[in-house]
Amino acid sequence: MAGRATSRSGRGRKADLSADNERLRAEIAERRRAEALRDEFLSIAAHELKTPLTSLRGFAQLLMRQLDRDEGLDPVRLRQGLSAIDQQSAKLARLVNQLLDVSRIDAGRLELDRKVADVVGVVEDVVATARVNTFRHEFTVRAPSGALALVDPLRLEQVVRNLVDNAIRYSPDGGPITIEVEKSREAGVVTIAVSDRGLGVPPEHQGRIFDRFHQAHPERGMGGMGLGLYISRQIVEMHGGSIEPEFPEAGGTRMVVRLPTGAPAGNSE
Amino acid sequence: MSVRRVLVVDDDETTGELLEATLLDAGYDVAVAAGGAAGLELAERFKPHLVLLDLRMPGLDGRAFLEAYRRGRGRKAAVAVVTAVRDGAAVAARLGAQGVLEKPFDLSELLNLVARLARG
Repeated sequence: MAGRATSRSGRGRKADLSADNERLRAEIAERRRAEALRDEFLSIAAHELKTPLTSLRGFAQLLMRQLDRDEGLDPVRLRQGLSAIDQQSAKLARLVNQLLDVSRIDAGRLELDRKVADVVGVVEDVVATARVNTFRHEFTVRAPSGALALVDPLRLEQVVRNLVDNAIRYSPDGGPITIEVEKSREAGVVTIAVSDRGLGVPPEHQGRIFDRFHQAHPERGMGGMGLGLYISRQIVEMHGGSIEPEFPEAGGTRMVVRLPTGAPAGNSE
Repeated sequence: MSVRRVLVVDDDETTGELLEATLLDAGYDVAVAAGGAAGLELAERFKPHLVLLDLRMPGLDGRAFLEAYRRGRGRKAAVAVVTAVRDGAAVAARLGAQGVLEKPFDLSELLNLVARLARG
């Protein structure tokens, strides 16, 4: 009897060990996946940060060289250099903010500061800035006079800016960009749709556009870290909303954000 | 020695402006192309002594530019790769480029590299 009991408990220990091994193997595989993802993250981030950094450093050095010469600085060159430094620092700040957002999302520490805000006003501000930065695109805004919702206005602005920036970036030959805002008082929903007639998204990339680091057109070297839509979706979902892509047959992309209006229930006209 | 010609092939507008301004300032003749295809076309006319080449570009990228450029007729300029990838030197060696400039670079590194490779 004792022998049988030992044998049974031996089998039990074996089974336990085997389960432990399986668990360990899974943990190691998971850790390796996390490490590979972190390496990829660091590699892409470093690559993207180096380009604006090169221009910042280069133009600063170039201006110093010119200043050290007897003839001094030509005002046109000075303006060109300072303008490049200004633009590249803004780009660097945007990239760093994206990295911080991803880090906050991963740690579950991205927080919203919700208040009653006019979604139409947020959209119009983003479009006003975009109009200054591109001459090749025509912007049309179709919106009611106002649409109040309980949102974090800065985070919502970040989402709309990301969608408009993508529409610009992925229509490299210019063209129309339309931003529609609609509110449904009954459903308590505000919808923001950003459409372009640009490159669209190839079918093989359509299911992955919200993945971290994913770029719809990697072959075109359009830059960026592939984080904008990932962050945007997190922000929209934290608001209890959704973000969905549409790929019209005529070409281009239409991104549709639906947000619950929250407490004010669309009480503005 | 006659003025040396440097062709910059880079889709990042600001990097192109930086390289152009620095090299013009140092007395080089400079042409800038915003992509591989434009770079090939410009190389035909401009006949550079050195090409500063970005790798990651829309359309014809740096690798494809290099292959097509080497296949073309006429005397070929030295090529230096300007890159932000982590192992830039190894990539440049694999491509058979004569030099590499890793971002973010110092302007003196750029000028030393160009002085060394643009001799003709």
